[in-house]
Amino acid sequence: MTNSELIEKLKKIIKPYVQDEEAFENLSEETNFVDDLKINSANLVDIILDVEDEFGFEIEDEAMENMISVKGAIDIINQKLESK
Amino acid sequence: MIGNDIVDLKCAQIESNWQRPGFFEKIFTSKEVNFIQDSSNPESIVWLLWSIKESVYKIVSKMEGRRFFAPKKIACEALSLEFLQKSTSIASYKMHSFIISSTLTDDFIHSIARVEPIHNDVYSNLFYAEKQKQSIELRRQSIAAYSSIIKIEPMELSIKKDKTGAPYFLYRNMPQAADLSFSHHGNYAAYAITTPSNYH
Repeated sequence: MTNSELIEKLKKIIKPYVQDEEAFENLSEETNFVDDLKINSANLVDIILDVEDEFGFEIEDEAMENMISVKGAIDIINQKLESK
Repeated sequence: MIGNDIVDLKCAQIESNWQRPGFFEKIFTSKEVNFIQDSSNPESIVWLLWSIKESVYKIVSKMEGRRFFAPKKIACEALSLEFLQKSTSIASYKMHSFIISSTLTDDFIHSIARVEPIHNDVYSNLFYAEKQKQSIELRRQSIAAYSSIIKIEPMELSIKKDKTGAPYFLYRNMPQAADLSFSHHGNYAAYAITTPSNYH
């Protein structure tokens, strides 16, 4: 899966939690979930669980630490998909 | 150092399903799950523990100069609750210990965390405001509070954010030793200030 396909999948997953539509429209790899998209930090757990369900792998605690931005999420998903 | 976190309970109930399978395992240690299960009001303890972790995280992210998501690394070791209204708890992160004071109402839970050992006083306020007004009001109120603590005109004070997004005071562009924390969620916002001991 290319990064842009991954970003499209990720956007679908995070969309329900986003509270800044403009930032969501201008989303890039640098976009931070909490600061830029105004996602409530408790919903980071939901995003992680949704990613696990969508891709079929488990994200352990150490990997979870960086799931705070688009780039962080893409890196973890790529790593996990490669080792599948 | 100080960190605070406010949870607007009505908002939390809409935004999160704490009973979602897998939710607890990502956030809570087994001791914390016991606190939740032993309570007559598990949902309150879920959000209390969450606000405790967030308030401690605000300090830890300043200490380490970075942002990360590791709620289980901040572990609540002891929790003492009075009538589900006030709580004092102890939490750990790596080699550090924190003491957290929390206030619980039907509408919100507010936690203020400090690193042990505690020497200094805390100045804090919590208020209800429309989202768009919260940032401005947080700045205005915390500057007013700090200016009366150190007896300096509010006009000479400003607030900037560091690389982790944490706010700090400046007096005529000189960063201050006082520590500051902001939090807002839903309709509630709160700040907490702690000053070095020579300002009684």
